[in-house]
Amino acid sequence: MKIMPWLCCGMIAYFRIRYMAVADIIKNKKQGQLPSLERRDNRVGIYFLIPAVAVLIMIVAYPVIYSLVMSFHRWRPTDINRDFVGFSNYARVITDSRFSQSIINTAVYALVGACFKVIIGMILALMMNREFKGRSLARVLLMLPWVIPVTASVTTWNWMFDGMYGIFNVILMRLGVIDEYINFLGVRGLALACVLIVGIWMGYPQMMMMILAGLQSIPTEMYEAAKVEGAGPLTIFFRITIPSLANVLSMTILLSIIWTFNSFNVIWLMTRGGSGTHTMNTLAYEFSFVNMRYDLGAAMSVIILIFLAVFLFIYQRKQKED
Amino acid sequence: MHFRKGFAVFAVMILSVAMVFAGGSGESAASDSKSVEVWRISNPDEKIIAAFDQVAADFQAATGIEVSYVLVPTNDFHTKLVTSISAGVFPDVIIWNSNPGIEFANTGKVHPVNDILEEVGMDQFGESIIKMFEVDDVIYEAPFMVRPAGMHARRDWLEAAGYDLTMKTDENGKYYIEGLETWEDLLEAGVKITDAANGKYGLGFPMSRKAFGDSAGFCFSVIASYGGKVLDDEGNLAIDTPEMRAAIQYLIDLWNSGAVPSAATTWDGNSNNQFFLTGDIGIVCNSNSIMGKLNAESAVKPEQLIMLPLPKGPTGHGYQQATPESITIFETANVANAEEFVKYLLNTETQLKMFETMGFGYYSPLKKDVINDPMFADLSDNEKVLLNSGDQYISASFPGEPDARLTQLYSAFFYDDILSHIAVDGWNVDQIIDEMEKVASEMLFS
Repeated sequence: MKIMPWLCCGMIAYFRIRYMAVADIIKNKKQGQLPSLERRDNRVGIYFLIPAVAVLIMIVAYPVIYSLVMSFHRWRPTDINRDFVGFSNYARVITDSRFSQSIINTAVYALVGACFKVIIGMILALMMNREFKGRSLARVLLMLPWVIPVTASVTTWNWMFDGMYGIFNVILMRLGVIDEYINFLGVRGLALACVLIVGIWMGYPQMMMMILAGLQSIPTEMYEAAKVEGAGPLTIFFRITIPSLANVLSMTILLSIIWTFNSFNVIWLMTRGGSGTHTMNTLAYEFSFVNMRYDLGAAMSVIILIFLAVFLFIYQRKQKED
Repeated sequence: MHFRKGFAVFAVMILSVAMVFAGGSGESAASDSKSVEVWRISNPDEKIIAAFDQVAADFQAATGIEVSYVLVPTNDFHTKLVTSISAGVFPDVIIWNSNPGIEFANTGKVHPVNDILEEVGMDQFGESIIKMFEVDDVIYEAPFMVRPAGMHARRDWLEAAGYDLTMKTDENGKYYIEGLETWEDLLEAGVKITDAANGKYGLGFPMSRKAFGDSAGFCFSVIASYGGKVLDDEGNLAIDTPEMRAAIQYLIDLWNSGAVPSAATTWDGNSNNQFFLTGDIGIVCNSNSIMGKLNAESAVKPEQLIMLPLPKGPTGHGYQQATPESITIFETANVANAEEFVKYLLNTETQLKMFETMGFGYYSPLKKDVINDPMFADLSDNEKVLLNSGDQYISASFPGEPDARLTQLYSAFFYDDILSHIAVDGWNVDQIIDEMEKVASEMLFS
C-alpha cells in the first residue's frame, strides 16, 4: 500500500508537466506562434528526466533528509521509541573520546593519501606515456590494484602485515633490520600508516589513468618545439607538462581527497577501527551497526557531510571556472 | 510524430512506476503461505549442510511447506539482521547464537515460543538454558543446539612441561586436571610452554576487535569466572568491584607474561585456530572446530590434542561465554509455518537424525532426550570434556536475567576493547575501569 503515495506523486508530476506543455502550445497558438523545435525538444527532454530525477530523489535526497531527521531523534533499531532529542546526538558524538582522533585520522588519511596517490599516479603516468616494449602489459599490471576485489587484496595485505608470519617481518628480519617481529597493525600510528599504504596502493591507478589522459591531450608539437629550443627534461616537465596539466591535476587532487575521505572498507577490513585507526566513516558505521545507535551514526554522517560540503563547494567552483 | 512522442512519454511513465515498485514496499518479504525463510550461519562443513538440507526436505515432504535457507557469514549476521529489521524486512525464522530474540524483543516483532516449548517439553532443556531466553515469563528464543567451546591444548607440550594430564572427576561430576584448574594455573602453564624465540606461544587468546566473538568471549569468561559483572541485582552499574579489578589485573598479567603473541591484537576469528593447527600455539579457547580438522596429515595430530576442562576463577566456578544456538521466530505472515518448522526442529527424532549426519562436535545437543540417547554414550575423552562443560556456558547477560542492553553491549566491542586497551594502549586497571564505566553508562542508560 505504501506504493500509492509514490504513484500519486508520479501521476501528479506527469500531468502537471503535460498540462504546462499543452498550455504552452495553446498560448503560442493564440499568439500566432508555433513552439520552436528547441522548445519542443526541451519538453521531451523534461519527460525523459523524470525517471532520473525520481531515482536521484530516492537514492540521494531521501537518505540525506532521513539521516538529518534521524539525527535529531532517539533512533535505535532495537527500540520503537522515536523521541525528538534536539542536538543531543550531536553533542554526544562530539564529546566521544574517539571523535577528535577520527577527524585527525581522516585528515591524515585523506590529505596524505591523496597526495601520495597523485604523486605516484603522476610518476607512473609519465612512464606510461612513453613508448616502450610491453607498455600495454605494464598498464594492465599497474591497474591491477584497482581491479582486484577489495576484500581479496585487503586479506592479502593483512597477511603481509601479520605479526607472526607476515612477509614484511620475514624480509626485515632476514635483512637484519629488526631483531623481533613487528605487530604492524597492532601499534598506534604504525597501524594508521599501514592502512594508508594499502589505501594509496588501491587508489593510485585511478589517478594514474586520469593524469595519463591529461598527458595524452598535450600536443606533441609543444614538446618538439621546446626540444628545438634546447629545453632539458626538467624544464619541459615544469614549463610544459605541469602547466598543461594544471586543471587536470587540481581536479584529480580534489577528487582524490573526496574519494579518500569517503573511504571505509580498507580500514574496516584491516583493523575494525582498532589500534587508533578510526576515521569519521568507520566511526559512523560503528555507531550505527556496532553500537546499534542509528541516531549517533546519523549525526556523525551529517557532520561528515558538512566537512565534505567544503570540498564539494571547491569542486563546483573549480568546475565552473573550467 | 505526436504518436511517437506520446509513446515515449508513456514509456517513461511506465519506467518511473516500475522503478518506484522496484524500490520495495517496506513490508515483510514473507507472504507465501507454503514457505518459510530461515536464516542461519553459513558453515562450509558439508556434514552440517547435509543435515540441515535433509531436515528441510523431510519437513517439506511431511507438511508441504518449503524451507528456504539464507546462509549468512558469522561476522555479517548481526549487521544483516539489524539492517533488515530496520528496513522492516523480517526473516521468518533465524537460527543463531547471539540472543537476537532478546535483543529485538522491544520491537514487538519477536514471536514468543512459550507454547512451542511447552509442547516439546520445557523440562527437556534445563532451567539455566531457558533463563537465557526468558524475560518476564516470555520466552523469545527456543534453545536448539550449542556450539561447544573449550580449551584446546597441546597434550605433548604440556606433558613435556611436566604436567600429569590424568582427567579426574570432582564430587559434582565435573572433570578437572590437577595443576590446570584455574585461570592462574593456565597462565602458569602458558608461560612454561612458551618458546618465543622459536615462534611457539603458550596461549592463543585473541585480543582484537577483528576476532569479534572470540576475544569478547574469552574476556567475558574470565570476568564471569572472577565474579565481575556490569550491573548489580538492582540494575545499577557495578563495574568497579574488587572482582572486576582482579579479573582485569589477571588479563593485564596474562598479556604482560609474553605467553600470548603480540600479533593476537590483530587476529581475526580464525587466527587462533589456524595457529593452533599449524603448531605455533599451545592452548586456545574456541568453539569446537579444531577437533574435526586434525588427522594423520595435519601438523598437529589428533592424539596431540587434549580438551581441558574450563578453568575456574576465585569464585570456584568456571564459565564460558557460549550462548546456545537458538531459534527465533518473527511476526511475519508465515508465523504459523515457522512454528511448525521449529516444532519439527526441536523434535527428538529430527535432532537425532541431524546428529547422526553431522556428528557430535561442532554442535552439541541441549535436549536431555537427545543427550541421553545411546548415540552419545560412546564419545571420545575430548568429546566427553566438551559435553561435561555444557552447563558452564553463559550468555552475555550473566549473572543476571537476560537483558537486551547487555547483549548489545557485548556485541559493541565492549569486551574486545578491554583487551585492546591492555594490549595496544598499555592501560592499567584504573584506566580500564574508568573507560568501562563510561562506555557502559552511555550504552546502557542513555
